[in-house]
Amino acid sequence: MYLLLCFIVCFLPLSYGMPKITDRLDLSVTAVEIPTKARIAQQAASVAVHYLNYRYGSPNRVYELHELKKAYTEVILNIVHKYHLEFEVKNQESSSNVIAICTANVIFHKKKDPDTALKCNLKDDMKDTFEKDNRFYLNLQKQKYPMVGYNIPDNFGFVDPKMMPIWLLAKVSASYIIWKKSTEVTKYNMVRIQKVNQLIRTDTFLQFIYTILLHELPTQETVTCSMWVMWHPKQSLTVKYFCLSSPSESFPKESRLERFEGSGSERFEGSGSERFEGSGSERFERSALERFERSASERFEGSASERFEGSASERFEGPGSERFEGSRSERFEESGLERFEGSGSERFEGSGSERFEESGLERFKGSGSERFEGSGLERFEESGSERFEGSGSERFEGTESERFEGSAMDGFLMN
Amino acid sequence: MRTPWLFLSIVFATAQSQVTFVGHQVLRIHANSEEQLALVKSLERMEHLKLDFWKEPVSTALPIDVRVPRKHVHTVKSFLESNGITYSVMIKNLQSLVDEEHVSMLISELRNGTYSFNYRAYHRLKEIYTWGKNLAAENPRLVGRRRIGRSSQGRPLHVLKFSTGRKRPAIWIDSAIHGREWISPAVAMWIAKKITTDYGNDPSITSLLNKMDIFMLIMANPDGYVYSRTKNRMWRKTMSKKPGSHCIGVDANRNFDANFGGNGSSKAPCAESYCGPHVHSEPEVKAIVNFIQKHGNFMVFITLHSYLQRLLYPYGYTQVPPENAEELATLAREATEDLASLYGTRYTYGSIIQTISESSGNSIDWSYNQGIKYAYAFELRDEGQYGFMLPPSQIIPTAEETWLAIKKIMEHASNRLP
Repeated sequence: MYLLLCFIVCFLPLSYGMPKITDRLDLSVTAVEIPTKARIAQQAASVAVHYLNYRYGSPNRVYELHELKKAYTEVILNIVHKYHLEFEVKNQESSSNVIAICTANVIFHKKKDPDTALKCNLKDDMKDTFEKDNRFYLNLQKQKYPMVGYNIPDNFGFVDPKMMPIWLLAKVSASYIIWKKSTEVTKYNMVRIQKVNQLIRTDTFLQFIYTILLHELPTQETVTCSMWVMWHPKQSLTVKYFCLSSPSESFPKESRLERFEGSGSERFEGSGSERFEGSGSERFERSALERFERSASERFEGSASERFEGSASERFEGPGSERFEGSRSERFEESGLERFEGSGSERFEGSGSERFEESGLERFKGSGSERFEGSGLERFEESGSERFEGSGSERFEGTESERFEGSAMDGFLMN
Repeated sequence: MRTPWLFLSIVFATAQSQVTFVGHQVLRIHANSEEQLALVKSLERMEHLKLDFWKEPVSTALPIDVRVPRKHVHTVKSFLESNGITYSVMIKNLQSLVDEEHVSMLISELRNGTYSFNYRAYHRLKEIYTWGKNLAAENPRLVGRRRIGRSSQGRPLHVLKFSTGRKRPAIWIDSAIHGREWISPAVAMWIAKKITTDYGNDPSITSLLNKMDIFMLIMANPDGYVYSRTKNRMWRKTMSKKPGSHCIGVDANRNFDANFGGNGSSKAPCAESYCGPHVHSEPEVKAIVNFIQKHGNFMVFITLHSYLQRLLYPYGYTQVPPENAEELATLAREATEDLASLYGTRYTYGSIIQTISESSGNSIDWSYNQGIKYAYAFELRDEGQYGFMLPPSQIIPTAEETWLAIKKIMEHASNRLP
């Protein structure tokens, strides 16, 4: 059944005259090769690796850049810098020295978060790491009390072995924040978990609320972020965050509150913007808690940026590009957290491709079918986890592995 | 080094009442020349004297400690005196020491010296000061300690001088200028100790120190270090107070007179890269500047930071390359290759502006402009996994590999002495 839908929707994009999905990672003729040692090439690669970790990382899959092999840059319409990268990554948590090869396009906009399209051949890594993740998951499910932790690592770099997976999960979750916040000039690194506590959920997901510290370069500032993470070994991460930027740690009162995604405040049911006065983080935490409780199954919107993955590049290539850009950015700005219900479809008329990048769960509520458009073609970079139908997360869709050349979850999705 | 263990084993043996050290003396001998050194070595070969060297005759810069059995004390002393070799009696009657409670005192002195110092840990400031004092005391001919100034909060800024002769072209190494970069002073202390043990044993360091002096400022920002240990692990700056601002501290590595206040530093007092109210406003920076300018003959300037595994050379404030850019780049490549040869740790290298970003008022740009042709900044381990909170198990490996790179730089400079 889904095969049929897939077939139909596969060709929808083509019939709308949108650029071929397979073009997303190709190299434009106007691109210029740059030395891989160049700082900006390394920065673009690091953004791509953060994206990789956000999408495919887990407590046992934490990727680091092994070597940048080739880098190209292109300036589009004089406002956007696009980097095409070929690089190798290694899983720092894996005992084997397996190296995966990746290709990515990273686009830095002047006023927006980076867009990234990524393709990696991660299959060697997946089975073993999935088993380890599953063990951690089951172990945590068995615990009587929700887990709590402080100052990881401690001042002396010590991480309790029991807290290692929690720390590594924070690292790959923070990769989402870092991916969103990075620019060609500014880079980040997660240095510490100040506090973490687990929220028990009625479904099978694990949920954590973290307060983390990011080290910002080149300003050398320390940025404090609150991060909500939902995770399941078979799913990709869902992360939401809120960062304070404080010029000096001693005086948090002075710090500006970062507008959540440009507008998050009004979107909070019953909360409104006053929630962000003073040190918003605690109130925010509470409100988030309520929201999570209510919204276990359907309200868990995926992280906003996914929608734009890969879409930007093609869009700029055609004459119609400005139109899309304008419309897309407004939507992005006003979106904050919850903007996805029902709105998904209109935004992407004829551009089914973008939908693939969505993670999170809302895609699954009854609209499962649209999700498979184009999956046969280039969805190799998507992890199979998104293929869940309906609201029950355990309902894995069987898949033919050839649809997922190099798919992250190859051979994994049998119920 | 054998000394503390040797003494303890003597104590133990005596306690067993098997051996007696009545009348045994421990002499400290200073050989002033190669000839004298050779003579002392020949003494060692005379087995019938049953001499027990606690510190072997190694070089003219290092003391020689020897336990002499009672019946040979007179012979040995005559031999030394007739050859004009100076010595002092460290212990007049070893047995009495063993008997008395002086033992515990001596043991604790040995235990607290730099031989038993735990290089695998991050220490409190007081322990670091004591260590520095001990290093100088244990190596009086090679190491001297000098206060070159005081921090904002009044803490002394001590420089260790490694020198075997009159004022020579010099090498500067500083660490801990940013409070939170704990690996930096930990590595510097290990390197300082390494210099004292290598001198006389390792040919390249021995010949280097016979041509050049080395100055090490282990704790360039003691106030910041203490604050990072007690209040805020992420503290970077000094602790100076600025009238009119509630924020404390200046980024010492933006306070130097090299495009001061330019891009890559901040004018906001609350910012982590605050350049300060004016050039050299920080006493920590002023002390370094004064010392180096007064000395006037530095050839190498090295500063240790963390993290990100980089070896950087000037400039940070301009794209214009330094005049010997090619030489600096080649030397950086060789140094990072030497570094990687030990544990495979990969470093990138380049000028600050190419590798990180624009930066103004930093120490290597300033020192380079003073005419110090080999100015390098190390960003030590790691790449971000632990960042500033590097586990102490990595201190020694980091120090060992960094030492190889620093040696390469120092040797290159010493081979190009005018």
